[in-house]
Amino acid sequence: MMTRTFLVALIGLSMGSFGWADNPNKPDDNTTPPSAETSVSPLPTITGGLVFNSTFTPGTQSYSPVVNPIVLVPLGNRFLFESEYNVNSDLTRDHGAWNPRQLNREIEYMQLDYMVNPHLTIVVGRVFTPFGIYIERYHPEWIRDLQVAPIIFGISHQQSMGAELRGAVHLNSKVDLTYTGFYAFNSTINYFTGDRGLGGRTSLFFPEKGVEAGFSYNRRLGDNRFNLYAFDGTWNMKSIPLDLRTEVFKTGMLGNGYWVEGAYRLNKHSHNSFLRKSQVVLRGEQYFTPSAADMAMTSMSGMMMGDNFLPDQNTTRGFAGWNYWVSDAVKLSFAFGRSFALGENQNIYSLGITYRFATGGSEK
Amino acid sequence: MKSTLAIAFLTSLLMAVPAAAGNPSKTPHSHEIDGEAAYKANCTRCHIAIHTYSARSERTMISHMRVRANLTKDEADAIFQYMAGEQKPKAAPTHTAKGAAIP
Repeated sequence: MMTRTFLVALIGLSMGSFGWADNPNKPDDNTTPPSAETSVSPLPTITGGLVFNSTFTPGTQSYSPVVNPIVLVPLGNRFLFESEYNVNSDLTRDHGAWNPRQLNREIEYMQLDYMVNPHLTIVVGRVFTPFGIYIERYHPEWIRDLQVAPIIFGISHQQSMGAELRGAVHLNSKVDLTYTGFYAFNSTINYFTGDRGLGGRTSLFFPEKGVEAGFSYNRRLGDNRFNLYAFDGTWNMKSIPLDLRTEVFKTGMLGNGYWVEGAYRLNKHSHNSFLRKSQVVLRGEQYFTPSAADMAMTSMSGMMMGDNFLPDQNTTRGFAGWNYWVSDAVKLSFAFGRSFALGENQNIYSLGITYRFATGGSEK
Repeated sequence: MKSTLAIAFLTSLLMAVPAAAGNPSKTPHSHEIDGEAAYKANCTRCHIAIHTYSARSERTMISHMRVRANLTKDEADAIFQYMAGEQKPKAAPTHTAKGAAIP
Protein backbone atom coordinates (compact mmCIF):
# COMPACT_ATOMS: atom_id res chain seq x y z
CA MET A 1 0.00 0.00 0.00
CA MET A 2 2.76 2.36 0.99
CA THR A 3 4.79 1.51 -2.08
CA ARG A 4 1.77 2.15 -4.25
CA THR A 5 1.17 5.47 -2.55
CA PHE A 6 4.72 6.57 -3.13
CA LEU A 7 4.81 5.43 -6.72
CA VAL A 8 1.61 7.32 -7.46
CA ALA A 9 3.13 10.41 -5.86
CA LEU A 10 6.33 9.95 -7.84
CA ILE A 11 4.51 9.53 -11.13
CA GLY A 12 2.33 12.53 -10.36
CA LEU A 13 5.36 14.60 -9.56
CA SER A 14 7.15 13.47 -12.65
CA MET A 15 4.18 14.34 -14.85
CA GLY A 16 3.79 17.66 -13.14
CA SER A 17 7.43 18.36 -13.68
CA PHE A 18 7.00 18.29 -17.42
CA GLY A 19 4.92 21.37 -16.98
CA TRP A 20 7.95 23.09 -15.52
CA ALA A 21 10.32 21.66 -18.07
CA ASP A 22 12.12 24.03 -20.38
CA ASN A 23 9.97 25.00 -23.30
CA PRO A 24 12.21 25.83 -26.22
CA ASN A 25 9.48 27.98 -27.73
CA LYS A 26 9.28 30.14 -24.67
CA PRO A 27 11.74 33.02 -24.78
CA ASP A 28 11.75 33.46 -21.01
CA ASP A 29 12.22 29.91 -19.80
CA ASN A 30 14.25 30.84 -16.78
CA THR A 31 17.51 29.65 -18.23
CA THR A 32 20.76 31.30 -19.10
CA PRO A 33 20.61 32.60 -22.66
CA PRO A 34 22.34 30.29 -25.11
CA SER A 35 25.84 31.24 -26.10
CA ALA A 36 28.68 29.85 -28.09
CA GLU A 37 29.86 27.97 -25.02
CA THR A 38 26.53 26.53 -23.91
CA SER A 39 25.84 25.34 -27.45
CA VAL A 40 28.93 23.13 -27.28
CA SER A 41 27.74 19.58 -27.66
CA PRO A 42 28.88 17.30 -24.84
CA LEU A 43 31.26 14.44 -25.54
CA PRO A 44 31.19 10.96 -23.95
CA THR A 45 33.95 11.02 -21.35
CA ILE A 46 35.71 8.65 -19.02
CA THR A 47 37.11 10.23 -15.91
CA GLY A 48 38.03 9.02 -12.45
CA GLY A 49 41.05 8.13 -10.39
CA LEU A 50 43.91 5.70 -10.00
CA VAL A 51 44.87 5.30 -6.39
CA PHE A 52 47.43 3.41 -4.38
CA ASN A 53 46.78 3.41 -0.67
CA SER A 54 48.74 1.76 2.09
CA THR A 55 47.91 1.66 5.77
CA PHE A 56 50.06 0.41 8.60
CA THR A 57 48.91 -0.64 12.03
CA PRO A 58 50.96 -2.64 14.55
CA GLY A 59 51.59 -6.06 13.00
CA THR A 60 49.53 -5.38 9.88
CA GLN A 61 50.37 -3.75 6.57
CA SER A 62 47.72 -3.25 3.95
CA TYR A 63 48.25 -2.22 0.32
CA SER A 64 45.30 -1.32 -1.84
CA PRO A 65 45.49 -0.33 -5.51
CA VAL A 66 42.20 1.15 -6.69
CA VAL A 67 40.88 1.91 -10.16
CA ASN A 68 37.86 4.15 -10.10
CA PRO A 69 36.60 4.98 -13.61
CA ILE A 70 33.49 7.07 -14.17
CA VAL A 71 31.78 6.73 -17.53
CA LEU A 72 29.73 9.73 -18.67
CA VAL A 73 27.60 9.43 -21.78
CA PRO A 74 25.43 12.43 -22.64
CA LEU A 75 22.30 11.62 -24.61
CA GLY A 76 21.26 14.94 -26.02
CA ASN A 77 21.13 17.94 -23.74
CA ARG A 78 18.74 16.57 -21.15
CA PHE A 79 19.86 13.00 -20.54
CA LEU A 80 23.10 11.79 -19.04
CA PHE A 81 24.06 8.19 -18.44
CA GLU A 82 26.71 7.90 -15.76
CA SER A 83 28.33 5.00 -14.03
CA GLU A 84 31.19 4.61 -11.60
CA TYR A 85 33.08 1.38 -11.10
CA ASN A 86 35.42 0.45 -8.31
CA VAL A 87 38.02 -2.23 -8.79
CA ASN A 88 40.41 -2.70 -5.92
CA SER A 89 42.69 -5.29 -4.49
CA ASP A 90 43.47 -5.74 -0.84
CA LEU A 91 46.96 -7.05 -0.14
CA THR A 92 47.37 -7.51 3.59
CA ARG A 93 50.37 -8.81 5.49
CA ASP A 94 49.27 -9.83 8.95
CA HIS A 95 52.01 -10.63 11.49
CA GLY A 96 54.44 -11.77 8.84
CA ALA A 97 52.05 -13.77 6.66
CA TRP A 98 50.25 -12.56 3.54
CA ASN A 99 46.50 -12.98 3.56
CA PRO A 100 44.85 -14.33 0.39
CA ARG A 101 44.77 -11.65 -2.29
CA GLN A 102 41.35 -10.23 -2.92
CA LEU A 103 40.07 -8.56 -6.05
CA ASN A 104 36.91 -6.59 -5.39
CA ARG A 105 34.71 -5.29 -8.18
CA GLU A 106 31.73 -3.10 -7.60
CA ILE A 107 29.39 -0.90 -9.53
CA GLU A 108 29.24 2.16 -7.31
CA TYR A 109 26.40 3.62 -9.31
CA MET A 110 24.82 3.26 -12.73
CA GLN A 111 22.15 5.79 -13.39
CA LEU A 112 20.28 7.71 -16.03
CA ASP A 113 19.72 11.38 -15.31
CA TYR A 114 16.89 13.32 -16.87
CA MET A 115 17.27 17.05 -16.37
CA VAL A 116 13.63 18.03 -16.33
CA ASN A 117 14.05 21.73 -15.72
CA PRO A 118 16.75 24.02 -14.32
CA HIS A 119 15.89 22.96 -10.80
CA LEU A 120 14.93 19.31 -11.05
CA THR A 121 16.65 16.15 -12.24
CA ILE A 122 15.07 12.71 -12.17
CA VAL A 123 17.53 9.90 -11.67
CA VAL A 124 16.81 6.19 -12.09
CA GLY A 125 19.03 3.17 -11.62
CA ARG A 126 21.61 2.21 -9.04
CA VAL A 127 22.38 5.31 -7.03
CA PHE A 128 24.31 6.26 -3.94
CA THR A 129 21.76 6.38 -1.15
CA PRO A 130 21.69 10.06 -0.21
CA PHE A 131 22.64 10.27 3.43
CA GLY A 132 25.01 12.92 4.69
CA ILE A 133 27.56 14.97 2.80
CA TYR A 134 30.51 12.57 2.62
CA ILE A 135 28.81 10.07 0.33
CA GLU A 136 27.29 12.86 -1.73
CA ARG A 137 30.42 14.96 -2.29
CA TYR A 138 33.64 13.97 -0.57
CA HIS A 139 34.15 10.24 -0.86
CA PRO A 140 36.12 10.10 -4.17
CA GLU A 141 39.80 9.59 -3.38
CA TRP A 142 40.83 12.58 -5.45
CA ILE A 143 38.54 14.82 -3.40
CA ARG A 144 38.71 13.54 0.17
CA ASP A 145 41.25 15.24 2.38
CA LEU A 146 42.29 12.08 4.24
CA GLN A 147 42.67 8.76 2.47
CA VAL A 148 41.16 6.93 5.44
CA ALA A 149 37.41 7.50 5.37
CA PRO A 150 35.54 8.39 8.56
CA ILE A 151 34.30 5.41 10.55
CA ILE A 152 30.66 6.30 9.96
CA PHE A 153 31.21 6.15 6.20
CA GLY A 154 30.55 2.47 6.88
CA ILE A 155 26.95 3.51 7.50
CA SER A 156 26.48 5.95 4.64
CA HIS A 157 28.38 4.05 1.94
CA GLN A 158 25.28 2.40 0.62
CA GLN A 159 23.69 2.03 -2.78
CA SER A 160 20.04 1.75 -3.69
CA MET A 161 18.09 0.60 -6.73
CA GLY A 162 15.33 3.04 -7.49
CA ALA A 163 14.64 6.64 -8.36
CA GLU A 164 15.84 9.99 -7.12
CA LEU A 165 14.57 13.52 -7.50
CA ARG A 166 17.29 16.09 -6.95
CA GLY A 167 18.07 19.69 -7.62
CA ALA A 168 18.42 23.14 -6.14
CA VAL A 169 16.49 26.36 -5.85
CA HIS A 170 17.69 29.91 -5.21
CA LEU A 171 15.51 31.00 -2.31
CA ASN A 172 17.00 34.47 -2.57
CA SER A 173 20.28 36.03 -3.59
CA LYS A 174 22.00 34.70 -0.47
CA VAL A 175 20.45 31.31 0.15
CA ASP A 176 20.08 28.18 -1.95
CA LEU A 177 17.99 25.17 -1.04
CA THR A 178 19.23 21.80 -2.28
CA TYR A 179 17.19 18.65 -2.13
CA THR A 180 17.51 14.95 -2.92
CA GLY A 181 14.73 12.45 -2.34
CA PHE A 182 14.77 8.77 -3.20
CA TYR A 183 12.70 5.66 -3.20
CA ALA A 184 14.40 2.28 -3.51
CA PHE A 185 13.06 -1.18 -4.05
CA ASN A 186 14.50 -4.47 -2.93
CA SER A 187 16.93 -6.02 -5.40
CA THR A 188 18.99 -9.19 -5.17
CA ILE A 189 20.47 -9.01 -8.68
CA ASN A 190 24.22 -9.52 -8.63
CA TYR A 191 26.09 -6.18 -8.66
CA PHE A 192 22.73 -4.39 -8.31
CA THR A 193 21.67 -5.39 -4.82
CA GLY A 194 19.81 -2.99 -2.58
CA ASP A 195 17.24 -2.78 0.18
CA ARG A 196 13.86 -1.17 0.04
CA GLY A 197 13.84 2.27 1.57
CA LEU A 198 13.14 5.92 1.14
CA GLY A 199 14.37 9.26 2.36
CA GLY A 200 16.60 12.05 1.25
CA ARG A 201 18.76 15.00 2.11
CA THR A 202 18.05 18.69 2.06
CA SER A 203 20.34 21.58 2.83
CA LEU A 204 20.58 25.33 2.99
CA PHE A 205 23.63 26.76 1.25
CA PHE A 206 24.87 30.29 1.76
CA PRO A 207 27.25 30.85 -1.18
CA GLU A 208 28.64 34.18 -0.02
CA LYS A 209 29.53 32.74 3.37
CA GLY A 210 30.60 29.36 2.05
CA VAL A 211 28.37 27.67 4.60
CA GLU A 212 26.07 24.69 4.08
CA ALA A 213 23.94 22.92 6.65
CA GLY A 214 22.20 19.70 5.66
CA PHE A 215 19.79 17.22 7.14
CA SER A 216 19.24 13.66 5.95
CA TYR A 217 16.59 11.11 6.74
CA ASN A 218 16.47 7.50 5.61
CA ARG A 219 13.92 4.85 6.42
CA ARG A 220 15.09 1.33 5.76
CA LEU A 221 12.28 -1.02 4.80
CA GLY A 222 14.16 -4.28 4.54
CA ASP A 223 14.05 -7.14 7.03
CA ASN A 224 14.70 -4.61 9.77
CA ARG A 225 12.73 -1.39 9.61
CA PHE A 226 14.37 1.59 11.20
CA ASN A 227 15.12 5.27 10.78
CA LEU A 228 18.45 6.97 10.24
CA TYR A 229 19.13 10.66 10.77
CA ALA A 230 22.14 12.73 9.82
CA PHE A 231 23.23 16.32 10.15
CA ASP A 232 26.08 17.70 8.14
CA GLY A 233 27.79 21.05 7.98
CA THR A 234 30.54 22.60 5.88
CA TRP A 235 32.21 25.97 6.06
CA ASN A 236 34.68 27.09 3.42
CA MET A 237 36.09 30.21 4.99
CA LYS A 238 36.65 33.15 2.72
CA SER A 239 39.21 35.05 4.78
CA ILE A 240 41.60 32.13 5.22
CA PRO A 241 42.01 28.93 3.15
CA LEU A 242 40.41 26.74 5.79
CA ASP A 243 37.67 24.22 5.13
CA LEU A 244 35.65 22.79 8.00
CA ARG A 245 33.39 19.76 7.57
CA THR A 246 31.36 17.62 9.90
CA GLU A 247 28.77 14.87 9.93
CA VAL A 248 26.70 13.54 12.80
CA PHE A 249 24.78 10.27 12.42
CA LYS A 250 22.05 8.96 14.69
CA THR A 251 21.01 5.60 13.38
CA GLY A 252 20.05 3.53 16.40
CA MET A 253 20.46 0.03 14.99
CA LEU A 254 23.72 0.84 13.22
CA GLY A 255 25.21 2.96 15.95
CA ASN A 256 25.83 6.66 16.27
CA GLY A 257 28.85 8.79 15.54
CA TYR A 258 30.36 11.95 14.20
CA TRP A 259 33.49 13.34 12.63
CA VAL A 260 34.89 16.86 12.44
CA GLU A 261 37.58 17.76 9.94
CA GLY A 262 39.60 20.84 9.18
CA ALA A 263 41.80 21.26 6.10
CA TYR A 264 44.12 24.23 5.73
CA ARG A 265 45.91 25.12 2.50
CA LEU A 266 49.28 26.76 2.93
CA ASN A 267 49.26 28.65 -0.36
CA LYS A 268 48.68 32.04 1.22
CA HIS A 269 51.39 31.86 3.82
CA SER A 270 54.53 31.06 1.99
CA HIS A 271 56.38 31.67 -1.26
CA ASN A 272 58.01 28.29 -0.88
CA SER A 273 56.66 26.16 -3.73
CA PHE A 274 56.52 23.01 -1.55
CA LEU A 275 54.36 24.70 1.03
CA ARG A 276 52.22 26.40 -1.58
CA LYS A 277 51.27 22.98 -2.92
CA SER A 278 50.56 21.56 0.51
CA GLN A 279 47.58 21.18 2.78
CA VAL A 280 47.38 20.07 6.40
CA VAL A 281 44.38 18.16 7.68
CA LEU A 282 43.08 17.29 11.13
CA ARG A 283 40.16 15.02 11.90
CA GLY A 284 38.55 13.84 15.12
CA GLU A 285 35.80 11.25 15.24
CA GLN A 286 33.85 8.95 17.49
CA TYR A 287 31.66 5.95 16.87
CA PHE A 288 29.28 4.44 19.40
CA THR A 289 28.00 0.93 18.85
CA PRO A 290 24.25 0.22 18.96
CA SER A 291 22.65 -0.53 22.28
CA ALA A 292 22.33 -4.16 23.32
CA ALA A 293 18.64 -4.08 22.45
CA ASP A 294 19.31 -2.70 18.98
CA MET A 295 22.12 -5.16 18.37
CA ALA A 296 19.86 -8.03 19.28
CA MET A 297 17.49 -6.93 16.52
CA THR A 298 20.23 -6.50 13.98
CA SER A 299 21.94 -9.38 12.29
CA MET A 300 25.69 -9.07 11.93
CA SER A 301 25.32 -8.94 8.18
CA GLY A 302 23.18 -5.90 8.72
CA MET A 303 26.05 -4.30 10.55
CA MET A 304 28.36 -4.57 7.59
CA MET A 305 27.39 -2.01 5.06
CA GLY A 306 29.20 -0.87 1.99
CA ASP A 307 32.93 -1.31 1.78
CA ASN A 308 33.59 -0.22 5.30
CA PHE A 309 33.13 -2.29 8.40
CA LEU A 310 31.88 -0.73 11.55
CA PRO A 311 33.86 -1.38 14.74
CA ASP A 312 32.32 -3.78 17.24
CA GLN A 313 33.08 -1.46 20.14
CA ASN A 314 33.04 2.23 20.86
CA THR A 315 35.94 3.86 19.06
CA THR A 316 37.59 7.27 19.16
CA ARG A 317 40.05 8.23 16.44
CA GLY A 318 42.18 11.21 15.56
CA PHE A 319 44.17 11.92 12.39
CA ALA A 320 46.70 14.47 11.26
CA GLY A 321 47.49 14.47 7.57
CA TRP A 322 49.49 16.19 4.88
CA ASN A 323 48.57 16.46 1.21
CA TYR A 324 50.97 17.55 -1.49
CA TRP A 325 50.01 18.16 -5.11
CA VAL A 326 52.81 17.09 -7.43
CA SER A 327 50.74 18.44 -10.30
CA ASP A 328 47.13 19.36 -10.82
CA ALA A 329 46.32 15.68 -11.34
CA VAL A 330 48.62 13.92 -8.88
CA LYS A 331 48.30 14.11 -5.11
CA LEU A 332 50.47 12.54 -2.43
CA SER A 333 48.88 11.95 0.97
CA PHE A 334 50.31 11.03 4.31
CA ALA A 335 48.48 10.73 7.61
CA PHE A 336 49.12 9.58 11.12
CA GLY A 337 46.26 8.53 13.34
CA ARG A 338 45.60 7.07 16.75
CA SER A 339 42.62 4.88 17.44
CA PHE A 340 41.27 4.34 20.94
CA ALA A 341 39.03 1.37 21.68
CA LEU A 342 38.81 -0.82 24.73
CA GLY A 343 41.91 -3.01 24.65
CA GLU A 344 42.72 -2.02 21.08
CA ASN A 345 44.51 1.31 21.16
CA GLN A 346 46.74 1.55 18.13
CA ASN A 347 48.55 3.86 15.77
CA ILE A 348 47.54 4.08 12.11
CA TYR A 349 49.77 5.34 9.33
CA SER A 350 48.52 5.86 5.83
CA LEU A 351 50.38 6.75 2.66
CA GLY A 352 48.76 7.19 -0.70
CA ILE A 353 49.10 8.55 -4.20
CA THR A 354 46.12 9.59 -6.30
CA TYR A 355 46.05 10.28 -10.01
CA ARG A 356 42.95 11.84 -11.45
CA PHE A 357 42.32 11.39 -15.14
CA ALA A 358 39.79 12.21 -17.83
CA THR A 359 39.57 11.47 -21.51
CA GLY A 360 38.55 13.99 -24.11
CA GLY A 361 41.79 15.84 -24.63
CA SER A 362 43.51 18.41 -22.58
CA GLU A 363 43.55 22.18 -22.75
CA LYS A 364 41.98 23.49 -25.94
CA MET B 1 1.67 5.37 9.81
CA LYS B 2 5.07 6.94 10.35
CA SER B 3 6.11 5.79 6.91
CA THR B 4 3.05 7.30 5.31
CA LEU B 5 3.74 10.59 7.03
CA ALA B 6 7.34 10.46 5.91
CA ILE B 7 6.27 9.82 2.33
CA ALA B 8 3.76 12.63 2.45
CA PHE B 9 6.39 15.01 3.85
CA LEU B 10 8.97 14.03 1.30
CA THR B 11 6.59 14.26 -1.61
CA SER B 12 5.30 17.61 -0.46
CA LEU B 13 8.81 18.93 -0.14
CA LEU B 14 9.83 17.69 -3.53
CA MET B 15 6.72 19.08 -5.18
CA ALA B 16 7.00 22.40 -3.42
CA VAL B 17 10.61 22.99 -4.37
CA PRO B 18 10.29 22.85 -8.15
CA ALA B 19 7.02 24.71 -7.94
CA ALA B 20 8.77 27.55 -6.16
CA ALA B 21 11.60 27.36 -8.62
CA GLY B 22 9.22 27.55 -11.52
CA ASN B 23 8.09 31.00 -10.49
CA PRO B 24 10.36 33.41 -12.31
CA SER B 25 9.60 36.16 -9.82
CA LYS B 26 11.37 34.16 -7.16
CA THR B 27 14.52 33.72 -9.18
CA PRO B 28 15.39 37.21 -10.32
CA HIS B 29 19.07 36.39 -10.45
CA SER B 30 18.85 33.40 -12.72
CA HIS B 31 19.96 35.46 -15.72
CA GLU B 32 22.67 37.26 -13.82
CA ILE B 33 24.77 34.50 -12.38
CA ASP B 34 28.41 35.45 -12.25
CA GLY B 35 30.37 32.48 -13.55
CA GLU B 36 33.44 33.21 -11.46
CA ALA B 37 31.38 33.64 -8.30
CA ALA B 38 29.43 30.45 -9.00
CA TYR B 39 32.68 28.62 -9.71
CA LYS B 40 34.28 29.76 -6.47
CA ALA B 41 31.16 29.19 -4.40
CA ASN B 42 30.51 25.69 -5.67
CA CYS B 43 33.51 24.02 -7.32
CA THR B 44 36.29 25.07 -4.97
CA ARG B 45 34.38 23.77 -2.00
CA CYS B 46 35.56 20.28 -2.87
CA HIS B 47 38.16 20.58 -5.62
CA ILE B 48 41.55 22.14 -5.11
CA ALA B 49 43.69 21.40 -8.15
CA ILE B 50 42.65 22.22 -11.68
CA HIS B 51 43.06 20.50 -14.98
CA THR B 52 41.09 21.71 -17.96
CA TYR B 53 39.94 19.51 -20.79
CA SER B 54 38.38 20.06 -24.17
CA ALA B 55 35.21 22.13 -24.12
CA ARG B 56 33.06 19.15 -25.11
CA SER B 57 34.41 17.00 -22.29
CA GLU B 58 34.06 19.82 -19.80
CA ARG B 59 30.47 20.26 -20.90
CA THR B 60 29.84 16.61 -20.06
CA MET B 61 31.63 16.77 -16.72
CA ILE B 62 29.76 19.89 -15.70
CA SER B 63 26.46 18.14 -16.49
CA HIS B 64 27.64 15.34 -14.23
CA MET B 65 28.46 17.84 -11.50
CA ARG B 66 25.13 19.57 -11.97
CA VAL B 67 23.46 16.35 -10.87
CA ARG B 68 26.05 15.28 -8.30
CA ALA B 69 26.40 18.65 -6.56
CA ASN B 70 22.80 19.83 -6.88
CA LEU B 71 23.54 22.79 -9.12
CA THR B 72 20.89 24.62 -11.09
CA LYS B 73 21.13 24.72 -14.87
CA ASP B 74 21.96 28.41 -14.73
CA GLU B 75 24.84 27.80 -12.33
CA ALA B 76 26.17 24.95 -14.44
CA ASP B 77 26.00 27.04 -17.60
CA ALA B 78 27.64 30.02 -15.91
CA ILE B 79 30.44 27.85 -14.55
CA PHE B 80 30.98 26.31 -17.96
CA GLN B 81 31.15 29.71 -19.60
CA TYR B 82 33.61 30.85 -16.96
CA MET B 83 35.82 27.80 -17.41
CA ALA B 84 35.65 27.82 -21.18
CA GLY B 85 35.73 31.56 -21.62
CA GLU B 86 38.28 34.26 -21.23
CA GLN B 87 38.06 34.16 -17.46
CA LYS B 88 39.05 30.54 -17.35
CA PRO B 89 41.41 29.86 -14.45
CA LYS B 90 44.93 28.88 -15.41
CA ALA B 91 46.00 25.30 -14.88
CA ALA B 92 48.26 26.01 -11.96
CA PRO B 93 49.18 23.60 -9.22
CA THR B 94 49.61 26.48 -6.82
CA HIS B 95 46.12 25.99 -5.42
CA THR B 96 44.83 29.47 -5.65
CA ALA B 97 41.21 29.98 -4.81
CA LYS B 98 40.43 29.44 -8.47
CA GLY B 99 41.91 25.99 -8.56
CA ALA B 100 39.46 23.22 -9.26
CA ALA B 101 39.11 19.96 -11.03
CA ILE B 102 35.98 18.48 -12.42
CA PRO B 103 34.52 16.23 -11.32
